Amino acid sequence: MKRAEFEHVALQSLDALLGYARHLARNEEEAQDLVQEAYARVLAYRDKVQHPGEARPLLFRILHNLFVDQYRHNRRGPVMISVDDLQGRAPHPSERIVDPSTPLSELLKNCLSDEMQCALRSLDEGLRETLCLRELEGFSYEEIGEILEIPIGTVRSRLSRARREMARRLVSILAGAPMLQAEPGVAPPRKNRSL
Amino acid sequence: MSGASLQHGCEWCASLLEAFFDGELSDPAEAARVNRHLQDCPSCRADLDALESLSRGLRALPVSAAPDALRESVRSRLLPSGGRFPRQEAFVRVMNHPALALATAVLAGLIIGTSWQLYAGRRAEEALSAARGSAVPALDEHISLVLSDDGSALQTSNAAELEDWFRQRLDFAPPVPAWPWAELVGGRLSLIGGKRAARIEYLAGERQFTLFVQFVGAEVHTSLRKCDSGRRALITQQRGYKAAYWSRDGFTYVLVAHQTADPVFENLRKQP
Repeated sequence: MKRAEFEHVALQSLDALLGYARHLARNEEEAQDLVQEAYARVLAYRDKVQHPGEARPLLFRILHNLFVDQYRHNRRGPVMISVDDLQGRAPHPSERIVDPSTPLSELLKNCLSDEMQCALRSLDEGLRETLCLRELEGFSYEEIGEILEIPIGTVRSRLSRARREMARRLVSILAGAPMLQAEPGVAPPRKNRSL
Repeated sequence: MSGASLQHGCEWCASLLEAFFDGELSDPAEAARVNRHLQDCPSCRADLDALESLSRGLRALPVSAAPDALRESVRSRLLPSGGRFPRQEAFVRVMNHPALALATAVLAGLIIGTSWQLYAGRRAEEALSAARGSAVPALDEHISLVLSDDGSALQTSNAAELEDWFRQRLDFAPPVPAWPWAELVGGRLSLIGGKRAARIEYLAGERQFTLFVQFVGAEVHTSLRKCDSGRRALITQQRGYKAAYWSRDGFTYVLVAHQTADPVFENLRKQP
């Protein structure tokens, strides 16, 4: 792959990569640091990239590994956002009436982005990462497996759990219930051995 | 699923529905079976609707473009000489070399033209990049409503640019056909049968028409009715619209226009 082509693809991935980092990191500064470092490291792999389509997943793999390093270093738990934080930015959840028989698709039509963001941030990192890679970045199961270095079956089960958890948490938020704790049992994010 | 949860209605369908929604069912027979089942099972259909709603909600999350400082920093890491593109670098070298001053004067017109192209290219790249940050959530918000929405996510008459735009957002690279009898207007993302699709807008005279492109590989996508591979577009008509559909190289194409847009279909027949 030509150098200029690689640089073009890499630069075009900047917004998406920063968006991904923002979903993982605790704050904007940390997200931008992850992105800067990912671009610094990707240069070492430039000559190994054969096709333009490989550059984007590579950047995400590198950023994932950087995040894992940071996660191991900080040993922190999942980021929790209290429902109270939504006050002032969205109608108070207790003002909503959630009928348990209402289909989820109907409920979600009234879901605000703050509430969606809140539910997403409350997910375990492994689930959140997988969900973001699929829903926000459009990676295939195979690509997600390569980025996170997990088997496709694990990608599939993580996605399924992530979606169920998102639905459960959104319903809780919309009903004004206390924020649920992250579902236990998901292994902490792992680093790619090949990078 | 009858309530506000993501619990599947039928056990056998539960194991396949998400992969179906994500376009990851590798067995065409399974995909066809799920698709048929969805026509008859309101519970599983509600599950699919919930998946689509959740996906739409996630994609509608606000995304802000990278700050200029970060963009410049990344550019300077990637590109040599503080972020200049190679052709820019060559331009600077030429301008700074005394022996080349005369040649520079002779070639000024050419160099100015090249510089302008570089400037315009960079501006276009920056604009595209900035637009992506705010456009994607807005686009995705409309994914389930695209059939009633007449806007274009990326307005361009440049097929290569649109192909690149789709490639950045889809897990396949849809070809953007160019026809001498039609003008490319732009494109957007869409969903058909739970699978991502590229929606491409054209104008033929005053007639607007839309081309949906999906990657199906070897899979039979029953919601679009697989047709004979690459030979001839088949045409169907319903509810005041005509659709021509064909497949080629693993992609399924569906061209939709108002039923009165006969010239479009006539041109397509002559130049598929």
